[in-house]
Amino acid sequence: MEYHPTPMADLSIDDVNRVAALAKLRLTPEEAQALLHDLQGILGHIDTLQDVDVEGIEPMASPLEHTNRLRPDTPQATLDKQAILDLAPETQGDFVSVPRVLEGHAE
Amino acid sequence: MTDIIDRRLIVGMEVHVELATEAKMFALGPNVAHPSRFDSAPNTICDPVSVALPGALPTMNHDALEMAMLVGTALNCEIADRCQWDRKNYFYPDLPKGYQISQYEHPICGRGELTFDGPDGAVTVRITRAHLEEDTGKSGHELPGGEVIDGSIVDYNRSGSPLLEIVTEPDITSAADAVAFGRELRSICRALGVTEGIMQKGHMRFEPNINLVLTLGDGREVRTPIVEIKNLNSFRAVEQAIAHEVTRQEAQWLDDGLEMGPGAKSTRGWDEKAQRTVLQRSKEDAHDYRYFPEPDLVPLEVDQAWKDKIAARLPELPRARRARWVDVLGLTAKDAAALAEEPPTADFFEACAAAMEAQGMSASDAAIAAAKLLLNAGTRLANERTCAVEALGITADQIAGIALMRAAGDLGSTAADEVFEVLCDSEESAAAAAERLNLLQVSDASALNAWIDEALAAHPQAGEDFAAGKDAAMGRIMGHVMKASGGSADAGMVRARLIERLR
Repeated sequence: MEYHPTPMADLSIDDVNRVAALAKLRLTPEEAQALLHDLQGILGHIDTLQDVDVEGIEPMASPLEHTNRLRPDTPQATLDKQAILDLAPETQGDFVSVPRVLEGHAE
Repeated sequence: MTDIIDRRLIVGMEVHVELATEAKMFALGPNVAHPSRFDSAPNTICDPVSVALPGALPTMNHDALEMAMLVGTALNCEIADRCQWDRKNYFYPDLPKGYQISQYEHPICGRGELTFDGPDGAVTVRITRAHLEEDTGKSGHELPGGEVIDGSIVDYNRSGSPLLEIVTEPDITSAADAVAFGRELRSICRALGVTEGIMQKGHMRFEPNINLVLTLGDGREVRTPIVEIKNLNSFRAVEQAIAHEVTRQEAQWLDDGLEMGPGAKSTRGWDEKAQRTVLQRSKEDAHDYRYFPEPDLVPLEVDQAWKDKIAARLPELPRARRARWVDVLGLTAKDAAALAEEPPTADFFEACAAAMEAQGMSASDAAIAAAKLLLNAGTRLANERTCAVEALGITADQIAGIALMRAAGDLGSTAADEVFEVLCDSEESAAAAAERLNLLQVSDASALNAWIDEALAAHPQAGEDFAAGKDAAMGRIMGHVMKASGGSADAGMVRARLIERLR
């Protein structure tokens, strides 16, 4: 396996800014440049891993060997309402208060 | 622009079913979709996972998984041997973690199909998949009581409730079929006991994906861009929103000529008041969810023995049950549909018919008699008392008693209704009630003749008219006989005697 120190050519500053926007991160141009460099390094390493022959190997969903860790359908104690509301920046009555959002959302 | 000479509607459905487990999908808090929790005060049934406290980790609810497998099995889906969880990343105030745990590439239920009866006959819709995920919290825009506020408010009770998302292929071709599909699916889910299926409570939410194939005057066919309508929570809204889209998409195409293709899909909401759909999001700002395998949960493996165990739990499904009632027992399709609508009513109907059969009636006579009593007297009383027929208080044995007395000619139809009503609040037998209330039908010749004599003496003109062939004149005589007998005279016998004596 050969390590590719050369960064992946096709990652641009626009990609960095787009991913940052999706993650709700506000980057200065300097931070974006630094991240572009780091991400190119990471993707270059991934490129190297892509060279590994994985023919016939099932993709791994989890590094753990366990499966089916299920719990019984029994509810337990809940958090105190006030404890939840105390964590919110703003509240209104028994609710957490937020800037107005689109009605009928739900993905 | 060429003329549109024909149009064909294409609809695929996405349906969210809130599973009525006791606890949440990946957390230990109680589930708001459980009947006992619907009225929970805001933010009182949350736990560290559902409000995303740092360090809180998800665990899988065994029963939610089995409910999903049960629905999948009922829809003839392939149940996956192995499936896993994925993170769907997006930010929204009702999603405290910043991601929803869902199933992307490896859903628990794969391809299947559902057959239902639409207005134009049986329709089979292919199921693409059904996957499990967690619900979000609930945003609102006014306080309880209706006080309007500036921003939005969030109640996290629903956060983490188990959701089963069922996706179909675009096999539905009319708004009416879309509704019939939804009703059948609701009926199945209720029969399986995985949800109460109360639409107003949001137990099921429908999201049709709609477009049109337009045939143009020059023979070309064009497809309009696909529109997804979010979060419809009534069958009426499903029907109206689809019907509206047919008109709107055709007009839109005439206006801009845009066709289906990458980048042309949009999301709209249904404005009930304005009776139109409203653009929520076009493809340009569509989300990029950056799915990746959920590191906090291990994969699931489902062996054949487990699948068999789930399959063995499947009850007779509503459509098969209705067909059996019609084909084997002789009910009308309309009566069968009415009785099968609510599973507890369907069970009660079968218990009534079984009680009649146990007392010697044929299966078919019993079913028809039970259907008649439940859909007439039963439905009327249930409406008056705003409860379900099976909750009126009258038992299957009492109803069987009424049917047997009717069949033996001991009880008239009006008297039967009266006994039905009385037995809703009484534990006595039908026979005892009929006797106590003096409702036993009298077919004894001398008693009938005495009442007829009295009636003819009181209404001589009606007697003459009836003798002269005017059937309508019998009404006054019959009315008098019924009044004199307190409703206990056998109307058929009275009629026969009148004909015998006067004609």
